[in-house]
Amino acid sequence: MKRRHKKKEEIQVPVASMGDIAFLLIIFFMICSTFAKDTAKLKPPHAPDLAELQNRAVIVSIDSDQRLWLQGRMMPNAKAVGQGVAALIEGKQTQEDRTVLFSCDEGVPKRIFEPVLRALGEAGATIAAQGQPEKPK
Amino acid sequence: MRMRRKSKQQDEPEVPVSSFSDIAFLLIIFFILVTTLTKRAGFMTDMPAGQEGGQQTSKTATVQLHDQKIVFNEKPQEMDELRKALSELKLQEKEGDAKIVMLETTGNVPYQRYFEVMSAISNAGGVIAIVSEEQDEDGG
Repeated sequence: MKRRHKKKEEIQVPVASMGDIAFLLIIFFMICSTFAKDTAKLKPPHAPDLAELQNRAVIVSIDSDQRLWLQGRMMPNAKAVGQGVAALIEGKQTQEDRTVLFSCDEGVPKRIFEPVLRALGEAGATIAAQGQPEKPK
Repeated sequence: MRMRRKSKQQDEPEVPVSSFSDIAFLLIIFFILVTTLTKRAGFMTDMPAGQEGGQQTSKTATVQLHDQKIVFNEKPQEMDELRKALSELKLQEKEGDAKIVMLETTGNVPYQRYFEVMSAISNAGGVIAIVSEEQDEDGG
């Protein structure tokens, strides 16, 4: 009797769609990514009842070394920050577009941050002040 | 004799796609590393462009922030008391200038305390107007 030679069925993992899945993931990350413009190193202040803030196109920061930053560039003084912000939001009509994300280190003294806040107000910007939600006691 | 016709196998040009998934996964790793998924928290506030020497009406709520204490309408208060007092003003129901809360600081108050007061005013529905103590040296 002829012995039948059974073909061993090899189990194959379907990998043909792996590339498609990978590219879909890339598209997801590309859409969700925001390349950090705020290079300043700072510890944000904390307060209770803070709302979630959307990412903004214009970012102003004051780091722990009391240096002023606009869009990741170091600025010499508050006046320059105000002028820079005014130029960036010029022609923008909606409050959404005129909103500036303001981050400042918790230990920065008033003589540094207050002129910046005033300059932002004078530039016609709405300020989105960034902080850290306080944990309930 | 009949000649056997050779069926020529047409060499179809193929794009090598086997490494596509490797490239794609490398890109994914890159995006995972550079992506920031942290959510930002804070508050939004409009700051009216101040006019020097602008008159303050007696009814305007005023918060004075000193190095160690907070004074609201000339009454010393703690932060929780200030929040309560501001919510009692029902600023959210008011319009225009009635929403303004003057914020005056003396000394060199750190941003942490300033932020807490600004957050309290903003959450109560107020518009913060910074009262300048003096002209700044750094062009502010």
